[in-house]
Amino acid sequence: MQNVYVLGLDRALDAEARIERLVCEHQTKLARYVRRFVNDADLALDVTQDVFFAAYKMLRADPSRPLSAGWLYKTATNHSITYLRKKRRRGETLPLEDVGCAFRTDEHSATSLDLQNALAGLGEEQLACVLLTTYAGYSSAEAALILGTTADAVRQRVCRAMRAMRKTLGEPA
Amino acid sequence: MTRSHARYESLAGAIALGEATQTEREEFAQHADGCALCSGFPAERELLRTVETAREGETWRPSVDRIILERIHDTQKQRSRFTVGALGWAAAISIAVNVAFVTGFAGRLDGALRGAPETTADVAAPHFVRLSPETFATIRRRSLPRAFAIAQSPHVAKHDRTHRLPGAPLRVAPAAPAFEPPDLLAGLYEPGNDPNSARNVAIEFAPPR
Ligand SMILES: [Zn+2]
Repeated sequence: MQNVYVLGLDRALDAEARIERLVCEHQTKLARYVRRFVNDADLALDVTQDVFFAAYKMLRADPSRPLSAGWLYKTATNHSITYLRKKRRRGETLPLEDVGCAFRTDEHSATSLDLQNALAGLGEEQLACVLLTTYAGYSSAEAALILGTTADAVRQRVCRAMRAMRKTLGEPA
Repeated sequence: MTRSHARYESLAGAIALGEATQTEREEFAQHADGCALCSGFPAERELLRTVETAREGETWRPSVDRIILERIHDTQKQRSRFTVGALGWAAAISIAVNVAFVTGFAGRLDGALRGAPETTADVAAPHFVRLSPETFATIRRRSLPRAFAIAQSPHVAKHDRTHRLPGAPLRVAPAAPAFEPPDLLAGLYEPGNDPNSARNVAIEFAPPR
C-alpha cells in the first residue's frame, strides 16, 4: 500500500472538504474492516462514523495536519479493540450460527462461518495483526506503526494467530 | 516458548505475509523440519489465504458520507449558535450595566461626590439599612460624635487640585451642606417591621444640624 501516508494530504482544502474526500475514498473499506473485526454491521457503521468525525474534529483544530488512511485504521482498530474487550468482560459470546449474521445474504463466499468463528476466537491483538495485514493489505512494518509495536511482533502475532485458527478449524479442505 | 523460537515465529509470519527473503525461507524450512510446532506451517498459511479470499466475496457497500456531513453541519450550527448566544449575553450584560450606571449608580455617585462631605456617616449609611434600630443607636452613640467632629473641623480640607502658592493661607473646606439621608428608606422596611419606625431610624441617623 504505497499511498498510505499521503492520503487526504491536500492542505489547500478546508477540514470539511478533506473529510469529504477521505470518507469518499475509505468509507467502504473501513466499514468492512470494522465489520470483520467486531462481527456486527450496525456497530461497524457507528464506529466508521465516529472515526471520520474524530478526523474532522482533528482537522478543524489543525487544518494543516497530515492525516493518513493509517490514522483512520488505527482509530478504527482502537475502537474495535475497546468494544471487543468490553464484550469479553461482560462474557458475551456469539453462537456459531449467528456468527455470520453481520454479513449479507449475497456474501456467501465471504461468509465462511467457520472462518469468522476462527477469527472471533483470536485475541484482539492477534486479530488486529491478521486483519491489518491479510485483510486490509498493510505490510507488517505498516501494521506495526498503526499498532504502536514492532514489525517482528506483528509477524509473531500473525504466526500465533494462524496456529490458533488451525486449532479451531482443523486442517483446511 | 524460548526466545530463539520467537525468531522462527517471526520468520513464519514474514513468509505467510510474503515479506521473507530467500535466505529467511531456507532458514525457516531447515528449522521446521525438526520442529513439531512449526511442522503445520503450510496448512496454517493456507488458512491465512482464506481471509484474503473472504474479502474478495464481500459486496456490502455502506455509505456514511451523508450522515457524517450532517453531523459536521450540526456541529457547525451548534458552534455558531453558541457564538451568537454568547455575543447576545455579552451585549445584554453590557446594556444592563450601562443602564444601571446611567440611571442609578452614576447619579447617586455623582450626587454624593458633589453634595455631602465625605464622612463616615455617608459611607456607612447604605450598609446600615438592614440593621435593627438598637444597633443603629449603638453605632451612632459610639462613632458619630467623633466622625462628625473630624468632618466639621476647620483643619480638614477637601482635596484641592489647584496649586497653592508658598506662604498662602491654607484654604479651608466650605461648610458642609445640610445632610440629606440617602434615598434608601424602601430598603429599610422589612415585613413585620413598622415602616414608620424604619423611617424614624433613618431620620434619627441623620447628623445633627
Ligand atoms: Zn518451531
